[in-house]
Amino acid sequence: MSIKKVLAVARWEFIEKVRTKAFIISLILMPAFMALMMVVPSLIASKPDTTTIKIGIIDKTGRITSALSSDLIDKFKLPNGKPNYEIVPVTGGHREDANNMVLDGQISSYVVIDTNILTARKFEYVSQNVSNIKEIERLQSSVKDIVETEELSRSGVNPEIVKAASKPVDLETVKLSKTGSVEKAGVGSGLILGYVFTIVLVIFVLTSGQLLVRSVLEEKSNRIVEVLLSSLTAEEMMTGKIVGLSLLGMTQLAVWAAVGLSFAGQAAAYLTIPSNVWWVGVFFFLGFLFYASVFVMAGSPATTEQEAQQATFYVMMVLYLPIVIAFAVAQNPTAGYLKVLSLIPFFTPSMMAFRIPVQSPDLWELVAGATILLVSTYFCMIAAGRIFRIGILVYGKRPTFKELARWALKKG
Amino acid sequence: MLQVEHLRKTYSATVALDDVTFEVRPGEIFGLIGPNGAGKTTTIRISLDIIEPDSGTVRFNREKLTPEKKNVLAYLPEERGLYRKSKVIDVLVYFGTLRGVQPVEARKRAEGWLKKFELSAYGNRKVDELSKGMQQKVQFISCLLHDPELLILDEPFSGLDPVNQILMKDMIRELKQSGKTIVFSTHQMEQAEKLCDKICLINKGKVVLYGSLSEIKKSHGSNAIHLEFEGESWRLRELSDVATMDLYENYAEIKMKDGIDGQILLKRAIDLVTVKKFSIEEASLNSIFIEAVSQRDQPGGEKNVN
Repeated sequence: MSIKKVLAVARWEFIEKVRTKAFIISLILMPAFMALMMVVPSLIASKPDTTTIKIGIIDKTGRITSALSSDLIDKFKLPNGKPNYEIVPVTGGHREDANNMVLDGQISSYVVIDTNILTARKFEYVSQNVSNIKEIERLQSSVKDIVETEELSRSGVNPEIVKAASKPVDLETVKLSKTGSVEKAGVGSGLILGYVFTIVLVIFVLTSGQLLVRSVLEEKSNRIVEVLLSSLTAEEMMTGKIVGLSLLGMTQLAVWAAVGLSFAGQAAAYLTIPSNVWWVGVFFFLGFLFYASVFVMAGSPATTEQEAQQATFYVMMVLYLPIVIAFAVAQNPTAGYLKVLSLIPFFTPSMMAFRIPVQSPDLWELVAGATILLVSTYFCMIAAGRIFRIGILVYGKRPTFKELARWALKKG
Repeated sequence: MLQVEHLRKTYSATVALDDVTFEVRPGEIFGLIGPNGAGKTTTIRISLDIIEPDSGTVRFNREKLTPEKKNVLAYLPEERGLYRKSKVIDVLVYFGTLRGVQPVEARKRAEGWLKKFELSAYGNRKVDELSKGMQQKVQFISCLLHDPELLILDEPFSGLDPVNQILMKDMIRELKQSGKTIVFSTHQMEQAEKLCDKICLINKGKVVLYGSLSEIKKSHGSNAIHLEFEGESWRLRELSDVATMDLYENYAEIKMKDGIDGQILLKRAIDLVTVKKFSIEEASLNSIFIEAVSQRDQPGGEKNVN
């Protein structure tokens, strides 16, 4: 295989695609869209109240009102330092009065605490808008605390002790790496990394894979392919295309990552980055190459866009498999069977991405996984080249799977 | 330069090529001629290793065609195709680098050729923006960038206007003079006759005639009667002792049966039409072609595949 020619093809595919409007648009639009999706809802959700909200209370026990009021004032403040909530006892304690107060706008909602709250353990929230989850959750947790405290002090426990005893316990996970060095790591952050990794990989393979198949189809339909094949081997051509479009994908990823990190700089700081994270990058690149070559292999016998779409549909199903398995992985990222899956090319990239941040696989596993992936990629590229070369002059009739297998195995 | 031996290729039920053998010598202009669907393009594709034969071999300078050796070949396909959305100069440089030329050198050469073909102004245009004729020139330039030893041109004259046909013909001659070997396919006998040193006539996948053009013409004798006339051409069909006749409205090329003197034909023809010009010359390639092809098709000749 002539590296020079492979590089010539790779260079062409890269430069010609980078210049297209479609690529430039996707480069800018996609992050903009994602930013919109992430930032806007959180902006809306976390938008703090600006004025104190008045909440009515019908307290049939007579003991909850003051405790709830002080608890809410303690916990929730407006940006200007004033209390977020003000508890307003409903004079007379009738629901009709309370309802009128809500309708008049004197209070936005009210709660009804029955005398049997300690045993029934429930209270009522009345409002015109019962989907204000933030407010409801806060009320619920406050009332729960108050009821608990009251119950305990009834049975003779000192409220101070109750307070001290009910303080939350923080959990700090510490990962001991093979070399004995200690670093803080969250199981959660590992799983997030794994998920993000797999999903981003799938998105990239799909977009670039489609580009690849389309470029092959174009050359087939305008017969440029004859000139190409009289200049270099089909294997060189396919390898060049896959490498070129992979670089294109990596460029896209780099730009997006840079944009993403600069936007989410704050949030990213919470993710603890494990020391061997660069292996994740290695598996991303190799995984991308592998899936791309599988994609081309599936798409290369096609002569029309529809045929190509059908063929690549099956590849997409395979691509989604790791996402499905990811749920099982989330339960126990150190399970033994994952070691086996990690060595099967279709799963290697995402399995490694799940495992590396949680408990790093042995070095031999990493090396073996990468090697298997690389070798499989090589064979897929060769097979794609052969299938392509033989399929090139087959028109009208779609080759059977048996024929494809024979082509792929045939010596060049 | 190029040795093609015993090629056989079948497409499901049809035999596209059957025992095709020929050799192209260095410095020759070699014409691969035959009617449409004869197997010319299939022969070319196999020669260039684009498709594989069922059996038979193609050798280049008596050796197997390896990927590295492809760098000294050039191919102009019949169905022209360039990247439509890309710049002319970029496409040319790309095709050059695919044949092993350094990008900088390829660009320099591409600019030189564009100038020669009076296309300098179009180097930075997209291929799409060029006329069909210009695109064909660009495609031809793409064959020249790597200074090939052997050029294989599939129907180089098809789709060209008369001016550009002349340009193409001059280019082929020029390339021969600079020591290149050229193989081209055509079904236009006039072009082949004017250019070729050697021809290989293929019909229905088989080699019907093969050899140097002058020898083939000699073997067909210099007893072809060229007749220019006025009058009702169909009346010439009444002539007897005619072996073959290629009849047009006011021109006919006639071959008499062996031993029949051409003068007799003249006498008889005068009674049928007004003869304007009468000459006995070498047969034209066109009539040789028609004779060879029709002999095969006649019952009792080579068995008709259809």
